Amino acid sequence: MRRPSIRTQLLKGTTPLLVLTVLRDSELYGYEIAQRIRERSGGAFAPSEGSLYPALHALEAEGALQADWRESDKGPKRRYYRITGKGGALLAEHEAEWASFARGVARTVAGPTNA
Amino acid sequence: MLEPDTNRSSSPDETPLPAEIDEYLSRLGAGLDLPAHVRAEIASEMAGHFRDSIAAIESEGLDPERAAREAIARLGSPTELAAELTSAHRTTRRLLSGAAGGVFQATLGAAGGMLLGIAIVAATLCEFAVVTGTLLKPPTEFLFAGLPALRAAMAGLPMATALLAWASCLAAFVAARRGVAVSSRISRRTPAAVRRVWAVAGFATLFVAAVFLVPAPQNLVSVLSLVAVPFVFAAAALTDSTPRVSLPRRKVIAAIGVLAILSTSFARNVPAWNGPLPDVANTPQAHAAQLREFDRVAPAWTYVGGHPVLAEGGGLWGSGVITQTINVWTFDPSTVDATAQELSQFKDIRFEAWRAVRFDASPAIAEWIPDPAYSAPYATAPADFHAGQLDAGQGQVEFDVSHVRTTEWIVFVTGTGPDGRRYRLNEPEFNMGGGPLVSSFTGTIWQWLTAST
Repeated sequence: MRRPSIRTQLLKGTTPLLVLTVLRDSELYGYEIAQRIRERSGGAFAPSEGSLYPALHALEAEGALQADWRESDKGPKRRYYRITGKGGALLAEHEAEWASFARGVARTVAGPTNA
Repeated sequence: MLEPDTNRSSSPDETPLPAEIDEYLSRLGAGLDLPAHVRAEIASEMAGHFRDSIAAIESEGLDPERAAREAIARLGSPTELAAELTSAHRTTRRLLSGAAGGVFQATLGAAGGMLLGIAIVAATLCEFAVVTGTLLKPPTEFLFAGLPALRAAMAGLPMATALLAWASCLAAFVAARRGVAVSSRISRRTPAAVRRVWAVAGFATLFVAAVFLVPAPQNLVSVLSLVAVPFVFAAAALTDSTPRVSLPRRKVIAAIGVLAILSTSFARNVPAWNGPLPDVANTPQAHAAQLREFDRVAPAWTYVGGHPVLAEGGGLWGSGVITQTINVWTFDPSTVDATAQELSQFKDIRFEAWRAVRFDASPAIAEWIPDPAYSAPYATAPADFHAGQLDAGQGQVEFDVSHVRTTEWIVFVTGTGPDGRRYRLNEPEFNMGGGPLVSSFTGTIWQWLTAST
C-alpha cells in the first residue's frame, strides 16, 4: 500500500487555513480559490478539488464564510465566497497555530543547536 | 440526476455539460443526504466548477472528452465527495439552530392555526345555529356578544373543550408542517429524517399534555377530540405534502349564496326564535309514572295536600358542583310555622344527590328519574330545618360532583318519620317539563378515564 506523502497530509489539514488566507484579499468562487492557492504557492501545491468544496461548505456552516451567487468575469453565475468577521478571527487562530507548528517542525528537523 | 438550482437564472453561455459530467452529478446527487434546495445549489456550483475545469484543461491541449475525464479525476469519487459535503453541512450548530427555528416556527404556526381553527369552528356553529335554531343563540347575538359573556356561556361545557380541540387539530397540523419544513431547511437534514423526530417528539408532548396535564370539562366527545390532536400532529409531520384543493371562485360564491338562502328560509321557522317549546311533559300520566320511580328513593310523605319541602330549580350548568334551592312550602306565608311543626317530627333530615337517567313515560314524553342501576345516592348532606341554614324557609345545598362522570342529577330531601321509616319530603319540581340538574366533569383525560361513573 502506498504511503500518503507529507504534502498530501499537510494539505488536508491546512486547507481551511489556505482558503481563509486567499479569501482575506478578495471574494472568489471555488475554482478560483484553487487556482489562487496554486499561484501563491508558486505552483508548488494546490488543494485537492475533492477536499476543497467540503472545506468551503464546512467553513460556511461554521459561519467563517458567506456565499452568494453572482455573475463571474467569465459570464456564468458562480458561487462567490467571502470571509466573515468570525472567519477573520479563525484565520488569525489558524495562522498562529501554523506558525508555532512550522517553527517546531523546522527546529526538530534542523536537529539540536549548539549553545 | 442532481437538479440544478432553478431559483437562479442561468446565463446564456452556460453550455451543456458532457454526458460523463452529467453522470457524475447524478451520482453525486444520489449520495447527498441533504434537502432538495441544498442539493440543487451544490449541483449548480459543481456544474460551474466542471465548466471552468474543463476549459482550463482544454487550454492545456487536451481534447474535450479527455478534458472531461481529467476534470472528473481531479474531483475524485462522487460518492466520497457527497459524503464529505453532507458531513460538512450537518453541523451541530445547524442542528441546534434548526431545532430552535423549527420550534419557533411551529409555535407561530400553532398560534395562526388556532386562530384559523377558532374562526372556522365559530363560523360553522353560527351556520348550524341558523339552520337548526337549536344551538347557541341566534348568530347576531353570538357575534356581537362580548368576550367575557361568551366565555362565561361556554365555560365548563365539555362541548367547548371539544370545539377547542378541533381548532387545536388544525393548529397541530400547521405547526407540524412548519416545524418540519423550517427545521429541515436550517439543519440541512432531509425532511424525511426530520419528520420522524418531529412526529415522535410532537406526539409524545401533545399526548402527555392532553391526557395528563390539561384539565378541562370532559365527556366522551371532548376526550376523543383531545386525543385526536397528537395523532393529527404526527400524521401532518409524517406525510409528505398537502394536496392542493383548488375550487373555482364561481362555485364557492354560488355555494355560499345557496347556503345563505337556505339559512334565511330555515331561520324564519326555527323554534328557538319563536319562544319556548310547549311543556309537553306535564301530563298526569307521565307524572304518575315518574312518581312511582321516585318512590324507589323513599315513599313520599305528604301533608296538607302536598310535600313539606319544595326543591326548586338550581344546578350550575357546566359546573362540577350541583346546587339545589330548597324551600319550605311557602305558597302561604302563614303555613311556614305549620311546616316547621310538621318537619319537627322527622329526624336525620338530609339531602340526597341521585344519578338521573332519562325516563320515557310515553313515546312523546321524556322525564328524568333516579338511575335504576343505583340503589343508594351518590352523596348525602345533612339538613337542619330548625337550627340550620333553612330556618328562614329557604336555602341551598351543594354537592361536589366534579370527579364523577355522571352529569345528570336529581336531589331529594328525605327524613326518618315518626314511625321510624325514611320518607321523601320533596318532589323535584324541575322534572315537570324541565331537565335534571346538570354538572360536568372537569379534569384531565386520565382523571376522566379513571373516575367513577
